[in-house]
Amino acid sequence: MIAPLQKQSDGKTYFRPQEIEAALESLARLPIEEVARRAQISDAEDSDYVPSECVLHFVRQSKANGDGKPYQDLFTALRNRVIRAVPVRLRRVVGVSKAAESDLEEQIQEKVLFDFQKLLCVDRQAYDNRLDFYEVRFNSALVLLRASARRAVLRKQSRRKPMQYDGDGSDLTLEMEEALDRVRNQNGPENDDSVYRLRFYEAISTLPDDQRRVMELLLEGLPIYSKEPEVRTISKILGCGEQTVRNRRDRAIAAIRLALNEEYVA
Amino acid sequence: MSDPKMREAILYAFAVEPNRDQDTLHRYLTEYPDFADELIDLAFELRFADAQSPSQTVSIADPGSQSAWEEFIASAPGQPKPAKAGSFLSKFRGQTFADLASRLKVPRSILTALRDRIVEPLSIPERFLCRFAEAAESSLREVREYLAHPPLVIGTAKFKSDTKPAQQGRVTFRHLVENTEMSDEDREELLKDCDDDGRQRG
Repeated sequence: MIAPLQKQSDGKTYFRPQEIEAALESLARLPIEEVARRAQISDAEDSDYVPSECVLHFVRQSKANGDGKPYQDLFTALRNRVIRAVPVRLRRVVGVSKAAESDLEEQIQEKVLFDFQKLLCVDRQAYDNRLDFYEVRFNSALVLLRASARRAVLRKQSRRKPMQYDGDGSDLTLEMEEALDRVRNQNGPENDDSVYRLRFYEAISTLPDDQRRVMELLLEGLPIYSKEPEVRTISKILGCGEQTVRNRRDRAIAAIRLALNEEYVA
Repeated sequence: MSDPKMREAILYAFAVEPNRDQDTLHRYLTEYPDFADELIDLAFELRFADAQSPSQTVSIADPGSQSAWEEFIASAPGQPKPAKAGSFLSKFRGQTFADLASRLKVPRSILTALRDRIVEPLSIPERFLCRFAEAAESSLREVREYLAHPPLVIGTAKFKSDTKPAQQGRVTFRHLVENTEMSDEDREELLKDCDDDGRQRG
């Protein structure tokens, strides 16, 4: 009854997760006005909450079912989901004033909305299977759009300089090992470390590309180097020597420490 | 050498993988070594996004919603173009919106106020309107018609209140410029043709 997705990969068609299929089946039995009403609920804990994947599905259906008020409400709700996923927050980042940071986030949000709108319009003209990814995992697919938007906006702006640290990197490694353990050991989003983890990631996000990639692979739990040829290492993945990886890591952790200290002092 | 569409499809596929772990990343890095940097960057972005909770959202105002909807329904094959009132600034979004503000030498907040029609149309100097029309590749008439419509009501407010939102008041162009952060030189330039009471001169 619910139209299957058309996106294929290696000859296999993409499927929505089971819970999304079940939610769609159940929503499809309701009047569209009721679906539109429920789509306005933003609290994911609410029993009537409609997952974004489903809101998108019904918006895509408007082509066949008309453009009445319920579909416009669904469309508006979908845009709200995008805005919520790419928020403009008032926060402090080292080296950037609050106003500049908010302005940057506002531009990223506008670009994401613009790019998402383009996807919707193209799909409306003729099926665009890129939107199928959004019906599988909406927020995850949106992360890609957000990352591209951020790159595009930053390319246009030279005022935001990546964090750099040129000091002596000694004595930082042990401290950062502890910090990495702290952010890796996720006991659930409610644990006390969630704020620390967010600050930590924010600091990483402002690092130069080469340092940020080393940090991501460390967070993945990969070793920098191994004598065993079959072991995956950061050195192999990035195609550079062990010492280069260590230098990048040391510069990164010094800059992160600086950022975290400033965050907590501020 | 890589096809941008293929690159996009690979990155989307990685983003929506149900299991986001070291093995998944490694599988993609092995299959698509040309995209290693982008995959690692995306892995970090996904991790970062997971750590952010929606409650940190400060605002979900979406004044562009109406024009976006009109553009959307007009996208279907064989549909007429959207109504003029919604279409005037609809092609300026994201970076193009920022570029338009920069061409007009005004902060984006001023352009946003004009887009949302919260500026009293009669208070806007003619010279600025001409520059606005030119920069937006439109006509003076179309700009005037657009600004003459009622202010846009922020769509999200409708769902957050039990009562219908009251019509937003309008401000004069002078008031807006005087209360927006910009250089004294730019402010003076914008206010050159304004009377003290905010009305357009002669």
